[in-house]
Amino acid sequence: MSYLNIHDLKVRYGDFHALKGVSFSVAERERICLLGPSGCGKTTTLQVVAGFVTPESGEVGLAGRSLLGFAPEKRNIGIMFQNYALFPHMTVFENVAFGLRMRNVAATEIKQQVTAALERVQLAHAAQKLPAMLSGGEQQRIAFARAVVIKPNLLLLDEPFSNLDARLRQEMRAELLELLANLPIATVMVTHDQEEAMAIADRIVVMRSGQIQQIGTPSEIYDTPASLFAARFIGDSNTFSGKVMSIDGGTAEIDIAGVGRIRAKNHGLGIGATAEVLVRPQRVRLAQDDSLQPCQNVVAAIMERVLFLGHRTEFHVRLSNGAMFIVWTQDSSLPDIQAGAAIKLVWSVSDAFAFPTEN
Amino acid sequence: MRADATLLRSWLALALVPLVLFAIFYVVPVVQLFWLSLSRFDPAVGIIPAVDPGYFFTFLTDSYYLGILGRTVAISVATTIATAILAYPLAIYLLISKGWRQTGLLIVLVLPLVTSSIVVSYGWLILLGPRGLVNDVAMNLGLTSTPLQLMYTDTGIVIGLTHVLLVFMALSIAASMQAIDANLWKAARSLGATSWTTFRKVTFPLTLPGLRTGCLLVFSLSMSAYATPVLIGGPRRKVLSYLIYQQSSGLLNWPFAAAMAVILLASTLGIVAAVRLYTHTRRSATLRRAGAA
Repeated sequence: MSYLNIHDLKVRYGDFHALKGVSFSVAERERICLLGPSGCGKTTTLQVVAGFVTPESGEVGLAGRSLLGFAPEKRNIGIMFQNYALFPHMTVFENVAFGLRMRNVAATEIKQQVTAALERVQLAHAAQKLPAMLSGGEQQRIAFARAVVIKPNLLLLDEPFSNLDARLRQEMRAELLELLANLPIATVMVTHDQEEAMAIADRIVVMRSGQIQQIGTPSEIYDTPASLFAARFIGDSNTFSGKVMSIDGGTAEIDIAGVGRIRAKNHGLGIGATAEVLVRPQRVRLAQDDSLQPCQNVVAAIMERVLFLGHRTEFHVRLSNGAMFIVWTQDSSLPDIQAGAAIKLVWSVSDAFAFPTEN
Repeated sequence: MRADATLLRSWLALALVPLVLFAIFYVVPVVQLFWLSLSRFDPAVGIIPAVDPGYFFTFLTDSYYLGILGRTVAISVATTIATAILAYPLAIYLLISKGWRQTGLLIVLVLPLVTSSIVVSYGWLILLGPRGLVNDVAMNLGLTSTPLQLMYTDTGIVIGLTHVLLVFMALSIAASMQAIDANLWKAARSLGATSWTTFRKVTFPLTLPGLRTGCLLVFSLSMSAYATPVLIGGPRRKVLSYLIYQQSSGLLNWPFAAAMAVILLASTLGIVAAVRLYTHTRRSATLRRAGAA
């Protein structure tokens, strides 16, 4: 039984349809991430759940009870804001105590719970400081402590790392994962950063212009994207476009001008349609012989350059139609391939996805 | 570094123009006023140069004059409080409204400022008089059987001043409210605060700088207001500025008028400074408490 139920949510700002019927559910203790570009409706969805935006229609249920019709302060939802939104005129202690004070918790109890919450984020020593005296990372931990000390029924994270630089971002992500790991609260996070989503979420909801494109675990979306948009938004890929020549079960054969025919998993294409074929860079193998297997695509290419990046090696190869193609490998025992050498790219049919072209 | 110094010098040169103007048109007359306040006056002879604080003594030992100073301060304090209370809802509305509503409200707020205060005060005469609109409505609603005395009262003066000076308070508060991150309100609501509690615990404390500026402006302008208190209050409800006018233009006793002007200036500055000192000490105490641990 799911815990948070969002059903057919529609939100309109004047003529702009921000949400066009969004439905998904979150299980107890599950972490869901709403992922999409800006304007896709992910933040609006969060605002509806929090109670700051009233939907035109649809339903938001938490633990079997409808949330709509309850003011934000009656929902018992913890929110960690993008800019932390710590009260600048209150000490760290008062910031964390705010929610408990609103619940008329006894003073001794407040002291005890706030101290415990601050210890959990390792900032007990900063209790009497003002937020402005703390670093960005410390402020985030205070914001987290403030959101969870009220024992919320649901935790909302709004772009938690977008204010940080790349290095700090990785640190904070690890830290947040650590904090969330000990927290048995269903969590909905909003982000436009696919790596962040994949690192934190149990399941990802890919959104685009007010609609859900795909819901699935990070690996499901990565390995079996349901749409061209989802495939492009999550992970890197090589792209071909061509014309569908034949369809055999779930496999389409596509003619790529200047390259030849390749086969890929078909996603709603008919014969004669223009197709976009995507292949993940690390699903491709480099070969120098012609040992073709039945379920594989083989394309000839010329090696342009080899980039050794430490954790992986990146090969840039040029196809016979002039397009650039990228292959990653973590296998360091590869034969030394010189630039200019003729090679073959090999990947299995199930690792290529064919989608209708989008305009 | 040299570029910085050059830049600093060129800004100083630019600032010099207003500074010189300020010196000529403000400092010089005020110094002269001080000198004048120490002179003596004889109706037969005129101004007699002297260094004699006699008029200050006269003013500060006479309960009649002190009473008028007290009323001026009381009216100014009441006006400051009234504008502060009215300004908050206006500031909030000003920030949340868009387009023509916002423009319209701004125009309504600024209108009494750009209109001659004599015209505005005559408007209030019509509204506040015994047969005026306010009394008509109150009597028709059965709130009162006899007309309320609003004209020629301190209450009337406060109403008139509040109307004229509200814009200073509303804009000061709106400016500091605009600087508040909207997520703070959402954070407070999500943590369980009602909108009223959010106002009390978050919005109000964060607009204190704007409130302070607004109070400073409204209080000093109320202390020195002339036309509105004179027209609405009449000759029987005198304020200090009226007294100064009476002495200088009516009786031509410029030294006494100057002494009262100095007292008005000093009491305004004194009260403003005292309030600032008090709030500043409290704020730095809070910061010290926050920084100590």
